[in-house]
Formats: sequence, C-alpha cells, structure tokens
Amino acid sequence: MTSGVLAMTVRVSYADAVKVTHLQDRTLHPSLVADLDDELSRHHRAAFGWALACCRWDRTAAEDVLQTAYLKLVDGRARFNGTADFRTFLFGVIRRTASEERRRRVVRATLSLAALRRDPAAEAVPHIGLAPITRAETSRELIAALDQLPSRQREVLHLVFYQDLTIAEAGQVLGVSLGSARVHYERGKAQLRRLLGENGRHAE
Amino acid sequence: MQNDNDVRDRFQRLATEDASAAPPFTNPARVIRVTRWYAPRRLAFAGASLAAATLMLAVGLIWGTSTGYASARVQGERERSAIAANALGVTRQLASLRRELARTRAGLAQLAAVQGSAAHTSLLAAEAEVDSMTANVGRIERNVSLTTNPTSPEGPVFAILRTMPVRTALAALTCNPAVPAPHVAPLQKGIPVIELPPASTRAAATFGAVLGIKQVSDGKVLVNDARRRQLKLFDSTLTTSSVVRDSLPGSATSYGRLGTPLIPYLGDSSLIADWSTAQNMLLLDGHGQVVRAVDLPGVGIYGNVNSGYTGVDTKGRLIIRGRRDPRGHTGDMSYPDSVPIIRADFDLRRVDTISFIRRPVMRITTEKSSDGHQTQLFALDPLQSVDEFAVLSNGSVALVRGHDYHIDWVPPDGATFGTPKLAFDWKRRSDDDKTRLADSVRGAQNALLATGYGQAEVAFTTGPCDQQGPPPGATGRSGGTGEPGPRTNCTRFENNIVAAALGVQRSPRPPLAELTRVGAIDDYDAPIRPGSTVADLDGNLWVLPRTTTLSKKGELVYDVINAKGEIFERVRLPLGRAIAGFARGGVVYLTSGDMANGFTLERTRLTPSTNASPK
Repeated sequence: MTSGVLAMTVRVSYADAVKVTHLQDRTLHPSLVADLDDELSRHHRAAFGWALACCRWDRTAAEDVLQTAYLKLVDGRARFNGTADFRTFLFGVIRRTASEERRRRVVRATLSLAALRRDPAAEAVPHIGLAPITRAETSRELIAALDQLPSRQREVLHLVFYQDLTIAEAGQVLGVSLGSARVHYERGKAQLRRLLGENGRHAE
Repeated sequence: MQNDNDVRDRFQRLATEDASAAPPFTNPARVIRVTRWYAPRRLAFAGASLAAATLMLAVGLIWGTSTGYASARVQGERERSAIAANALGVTRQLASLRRELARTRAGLAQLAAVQGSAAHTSLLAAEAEVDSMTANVGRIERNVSLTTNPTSPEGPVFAILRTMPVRTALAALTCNPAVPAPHVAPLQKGIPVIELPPASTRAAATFGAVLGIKQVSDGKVLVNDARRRQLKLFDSTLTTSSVVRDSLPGSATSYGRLGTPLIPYLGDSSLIADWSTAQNMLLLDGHGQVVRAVDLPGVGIYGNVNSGYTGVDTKGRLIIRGRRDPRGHTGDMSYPDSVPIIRADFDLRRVDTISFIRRPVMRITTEKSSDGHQTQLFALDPLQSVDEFAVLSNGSVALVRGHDYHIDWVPPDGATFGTPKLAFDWKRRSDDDKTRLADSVRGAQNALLATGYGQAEVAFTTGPCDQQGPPPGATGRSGGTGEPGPRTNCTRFENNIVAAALGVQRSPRPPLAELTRVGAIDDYDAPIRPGSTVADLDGNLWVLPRTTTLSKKGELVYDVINAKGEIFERVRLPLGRAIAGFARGGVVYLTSGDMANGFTLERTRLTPSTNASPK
C-alpha cells in the first residue's frame, strides 16, 4: 500500500504512464502531454536525422514530416501502446508520415496538373539548397552512395549505423521481420561498401 | 568489423552534422492550439451560429412584415374612416348642389316660357352649363363612393401591401407551394372580324378531294383531285376544264397509282410526285404539262415531301416536315415528341434541319396473330399540344408553338427569332377537368380494347398475300420482293376512317397491350390542332384556333397574322366551307361538300387589310 502511494507520487516516464493509464480516448491528459514533450525533445535530433533520411535529405520536407508526426502523437492519431521502445515507435511514425507525405505530393502534383504550371526558368536551375555545399566531403559521398541503395537497405543501414539501433529494432521500425531486416542490412552494407569504394576510385 | 566501424564513423559524422543543423524543438501542443481551429466542435459552433443568424433573420423578416402590414392596415382603416366622414359631408353638399341645379333648371324653363324665342340661344347655353355641372356632380359622387366603399375595385390605400413580394415569397416558402400564375395573353381587343364574302365563282364540276390549287398568271387554275387521281386545268371562270393528268394508267399523262398533293412552286410552276418512277418529282408548267423530272436532294425525303406539309421558300427550297424514327424495341416502340423541319436545296443538293416542332408521342404496339398476320397499332395522346408550321410567301417559315401560341420565325437568310404570344381565349383546365379528360381518353381506349380497335385510325397488317385486290376501305397496298410472280408477304395499309365511311365492318382484332398516356396534361386547352395553319400568297399566315367564341353557327374563324407576328384580323368563313387554297390579291379558294357526294370548289376575294403584311 505504501509502495503504491509512493509510486503515484513519483514522476513516471511517458511510456510508463501510457502503460498505466490505458487511455480510451484519443486525447492525452495534460500531464501526459507534458511527458510527451519531454520525450520528443529528448529524441528530437535523432528524429530529425531519421526524417532527413526518410525524405532523402530534403530538409524542408523533413521538418514538415517531423512536425506532422509530432502532431499525430499529441492529438492521438498515433498512439503508443507501450509494447516497444518509444524511439522505435517514434521512428515508425515518422517513416509512415514521410510515406504519406510522399504519396500526397504525388497525388497533388497529379490532380493539380503541376506539369502545366511548371516554370521553365525554375526548372533550368535545379534547386539543391546549401546542404550539399556545407556538408563534409565524406558525408556527401555517403549520402550519394545511400541514394543509390534501395530504400529498405538504406533505411536499415541508417537505423543501425546512424541511430545505433539493433537490427531487430530496425526491423520493428520498418515493420519487417528480423530475418528480412538482417538480409537488408547485409546486402545494403555490401552495396554501400562497393559504392563508397567506387566513389573513392573515381575521386582518385 | 573494422569496415563496419568505418561505415559507422561515416554515419556518425553525418549524424553530427545533421544534429548541428536540426531545428529547435517546438512544443507540438502549442502548434495544435494554433492549428486546431478546424476542430469539429468549432465547426459545429460556426454552423450553429450561422443557423441561428438565419433563423433570426427569417423571424425578423416575417415579424417585421406582419407588423408592418398590420400597422399599415390600421393606418388604412383610419384613413378610410376619415375619408368616409369627409365623404358624408361632401355627399350632403352635392345633394344640396343638385337641388340648386334643379331649381336653376326650372327657373330657366320659366324664363324661356316668358321671354319667348328671343332669348332662346342664351337659355340653351345656360341649360348646357347646368347639364355640365350636373355631370360633374355625378362624377364627384361616383368617385366619393368608390373611395369609401371597401369592396370597390381600387380597394384601400394600403391594399398593395397584401401583395408584398417579400410576404408572398415567405408565404410560398413556409406555408404552401406557390402556384405560378401563367402569363395568359388576353383576348386581343380591337381585332376586326371580317366576314369572308360569298363565293363569286363556283366550279361546275365536283371533286373527290382537293389537295392543292395553283392559280397561274393567265388566270387559269390547276386543281389537284387527289382522291380521283386527276389534275384538272380550269379556265379563269372555273366553268370549263380539261384533264391534264388522269388516273388511267399506261399513258404519258397518267397521274400515278396514289393520290398525292400538288405543291405550288416558283412562278407558275408546280411540283407533283411521280409515283411511276423511283423518288422523282415532276415539274409542271402553268398548264399542267411536265417540264422535266426533278431529283430530290438527300435520301429518304420523298415520302415527307408528299405528305401534304411541304412549302416552298423564295429560293425554291422545299420546307418539309421531316421524319421521326421510332425508338424502343420491337413490340413496344414509340415516336419521339418532336419532328424536324428540314429544308431541301435543289441547287446545293443539300438537306438541313432548320428547327423542330412538337408532336405528341406516338406509341406503337405490335401483335402477331396465329394466322401469321402482324398488326401494328399507332396510338397518340390527343391531349398534348402540338406545333404547326407554314411557309409564307416571303420565304419565312412560321413555327406556331402550341403550348403558348406564339410564333418562331425562320427567315430564308437569317437567325430564328420569336414574336410575342398571340391573343387567345385560354381555357384553364382544373384538376377536375384533367381528371375528366384523362378518364375520357381512358374510356375511349378501353372501348377500343373492347372492340379490338375497330375504330383505330391506322393499321398496318403484314401477312401472306391473298392475291386479291385491296379490301374495301384499304387505301393502299405495298410490299413484295419486286420479283415477277406471286408475292409471298404483303403489308396492307388500312385506313379505318375510310372504311367506316364506306360502311365496311372489319372483324375485330384481338386486344393488344393497354394504351397509356404519355406526359402530364397541359394546364390549358391547346390553342391549335395539327393541320391548322396555312399561308396565303400575300405574306400572311392563317391559323385556325381550336376554339373560338366568334363562330356563330359553326363557321371556321381564322386568325390572320402578318409577318410581324400580329393578328390583324379574324376571318369568318361561310358556313360549311374550308380553305382549299389561295391566290395573290386576297383570292381564297373554298371547298364544301362531303366524301359521299363530292366537294365543290368556290372562289372569293378578301379585301386586303391595311395591317396585312407588305407585299
């Protein structure tokens, strides 16, 4: 009884709180929202890196995706049931949100006949932003090599080497089995090594 | 493992760079507070606010309208009371004035008796002045009584508020559906009714059925007797005649095997069908002699040209009522509700559609008997309004619209335009009238069903040929393969009206499917019926309305309409006469008689009106 009272007074993490409360509605209690803010701020940089990877290093798109994912978490559209690590869950939400955004852009471009409104002058100079210029040479090589990999392999490698997740956790984020994740990991790593080597030779 | 570390190092450097460039963390809850304006609760609140505003506006309108009307009514009552009080005093003063005038008149009479004739002129002037004053008093009294009488036609001052548009619209929206009052053109006043003069000339011979008259420039008259299949040329007095085309087959002047209309063409020429050759028209000169054969432009209009509804414009183009093809599947087909009006150009060899006219939907029911005969029954709804057309001598095509009795004009070269509705004594059909009419039609149809369509208008019977002549009452016969030898399949066209006139009784046919009405009954009696328009040669259109109050003993009374679309006179024909044709200068040819005894042909002349179409 005493321990129960003490447990109620101790500030619990967001994940633990969700486990305890088993919310039935889609809105979060204010205290849980505060906990969620803490969790998100803690994983914010990693989440941004993952959003960049999901958006092919398009910074603007990554920021939009990240904010949308956060909103999903807060307004209850994405609910964490506590069965996995919160970071894994967050990465999964970001990945799905990025996929939705990608599909939505394709649909919008199709429905709005974006091709008819295309500005030839703008097309003549592709918009690449400042990121490729400001990045280090090795990072540029890595991004160029990752761009040539299939999305699954690229994502597994990113989650394992960039986010320091295990292959099993990467599989959870991607929604694939451990075996599949391992295969993507091995093949992606071999392909990445080959690409980085080729790039090096070209560089030489 | 070493390689993995190398890759990991690269990723970590990339992570470090990304982390340094990561945007600051923004509390998503705050963003939600900004972006959640579209939450369902807010939308519901906005909707409720809108609904409340609309409700308040409606209540305010109704309330304001009602109170405004009520206060106006009270004000009107007060005003009427004041006027009535004033009027009472005025009436008394007027009565006093009348008495004074009467005394003055009596005094004038005494003066006249005393002074004799010397002052007669001045006395008459004084009496006229008294009469004028008396008339003024009477007018004032009448005005006063109209003002004070609440049931007077002018009504109270604020009676106009009872017909306020807003109030009417609200009542229509909230109480009951508004019944739109159709715009009904009143019977045009001031249109003279002209008696067509009695016939000045009467043909000695009788005719089976006159289907076309052409008066040529030398005064001779070509008369087409379609029933007897003769084309006769009369002199200008209609006394002597010669047969220029006869029903006797085998000669160069044979009329042909079918009765066909004579189409007056340009100048003294005429067109008539040549049924002995395939789809040719014969161009006749003023004496009925064939000038040449004319091939019709287009395909499949031969029957339409010779249907009796063909006109000619000033360029020699034929204006024809086109064909409407039945729709539906075999056994239950129907003709559409409109017929194209087509124009055939001999020079350009082209046929184009210039407009459409309305015709009742006609249903076709088919039944095949056990003996192999197939019977088709054509049934149309007699309660639907129809359009008619005619070609004026100036080349314009007048399309008389039956639903509202106005005319659409198609000039020879120009765009179509319409003219206002014509005056007609419209008869509104109440719901009871419609029910009664529908029951009447249904009763007639049931009678047809019971008798196996013995009185049906037209029936085609297809079956084995009987190798005998056409039966009594049949007006035509066609079919076969065209090959020599006995025909194996015949289509017989039977006109039961003719059969009934000849007293032929056919065996009843088996009842077919029940006939049904198509479309709603119009709110008003149709003003015209099919075949009720004809154009004279002076640029006017003659329309025979379906009903008229101007007929005394059953004479036909035509509305004569000029090229501006105005009825400028109504012409009452002599009793028992019908129009057979026209000639220039107001000449009208009339027929009278019946099928049994033949028809006579008469000629009269109508004095041209000043309001007629310009020549």
